[in-house]
Amino acid sequence: MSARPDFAEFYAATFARLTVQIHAFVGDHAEAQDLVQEAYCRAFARWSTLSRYDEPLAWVNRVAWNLAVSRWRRLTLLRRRMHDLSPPDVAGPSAASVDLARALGQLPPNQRRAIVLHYLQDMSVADIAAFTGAAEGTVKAWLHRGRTALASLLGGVEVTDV
Amino acid sequence: MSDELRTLFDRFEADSLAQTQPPGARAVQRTVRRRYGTRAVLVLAAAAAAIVWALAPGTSPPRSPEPIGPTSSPSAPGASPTAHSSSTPPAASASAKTGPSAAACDPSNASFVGQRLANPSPDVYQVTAQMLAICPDLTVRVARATYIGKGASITTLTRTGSTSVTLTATNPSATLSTVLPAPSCESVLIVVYVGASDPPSSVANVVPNLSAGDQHDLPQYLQLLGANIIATSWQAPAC
Repeated sequence: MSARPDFAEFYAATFARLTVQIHAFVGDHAEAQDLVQEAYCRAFARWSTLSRYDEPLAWVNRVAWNLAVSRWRRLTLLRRRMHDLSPPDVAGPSAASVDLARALGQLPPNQRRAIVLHYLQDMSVADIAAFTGAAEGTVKAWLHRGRTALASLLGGVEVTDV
Repeated sequence: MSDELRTLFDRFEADSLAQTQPPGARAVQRTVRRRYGTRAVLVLAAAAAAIVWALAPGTSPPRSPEPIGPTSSPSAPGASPTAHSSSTPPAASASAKTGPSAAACDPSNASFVGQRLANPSPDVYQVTAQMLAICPDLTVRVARATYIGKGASITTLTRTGSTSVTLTATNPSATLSTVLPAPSCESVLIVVYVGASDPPSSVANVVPNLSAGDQHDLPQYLQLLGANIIATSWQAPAC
């Protein structure tokens, strides 16, 4: 079995940004990377089909989010084992990012997902509704409540509704 | 009004991107190959185990359940005697037997014969001209056994009667009624089968299972006879 030539390019072009979103959602960078890597493994297994799609990233995106939402508990253990293997020369996140990740972690999963998809994937309310299968009104409520909660948790930052 | 959250998320994205070190597409390929390899090994191991099991002395290959005809629902407790279940054997009419009839004659195989018997009307069994064309000297023994046990909780049903007929070219048709008695406190099971063996004097009480729609136990018990069940009728106790 050999990879199609463009899988590597697709992987290199899309991995990092997807990891950022999953990182914001699960609150742990290593776990997010594992989840995204798993999504790409599943994509590679059916790459002959996916590579014909207009947007193979949409498929990977969906799988990664599904994995993240279900939290794929096994990877938590793997992450703990591999945590010490992280390269030491990687710069740590800024205090603001740590605060944001911590605040996101306190939101209910639906609000957190909506916020992450909006701010990190630039999805509109309609896009989020289509992605999550929720009504647009529900998504608006998630975004509103999520932003309000984040503003409070982050010490009164200014937010604007979509 | 500015959205400070946007700024925070931008900074978060930059931090997270800086931390991200993709394991690489090669790692993906290795993982997928390893999974395929593991799966292949497991499949081969399972196949080898199945072969060893099948070849081991004292074991026989798994046998698919004998097809049981669409047995009609049993009479419910308290139902009127006229609502007795009547049996419907799996054998279809002779005109429907085209493909299977092309098989070689195997009169000693109850399954072969049972699946080819015609059932022109309820409780009537018939060797067809097609079967006789394949097996001119065909002799088919069709037997009926009636089992009864008192109460719903009894575990064993006892044979209270049995009868058999032999179908041949000169006597191609016979009637074996599966009409149930009037509802009582007894579990009743009537089985019609093709086979040379005598029915066992007792069988496990499968009436509750049959009542629940599970017909799998029955052939398990009667396949011990080498029999092929072609009709069943049962009645749960009505007290």
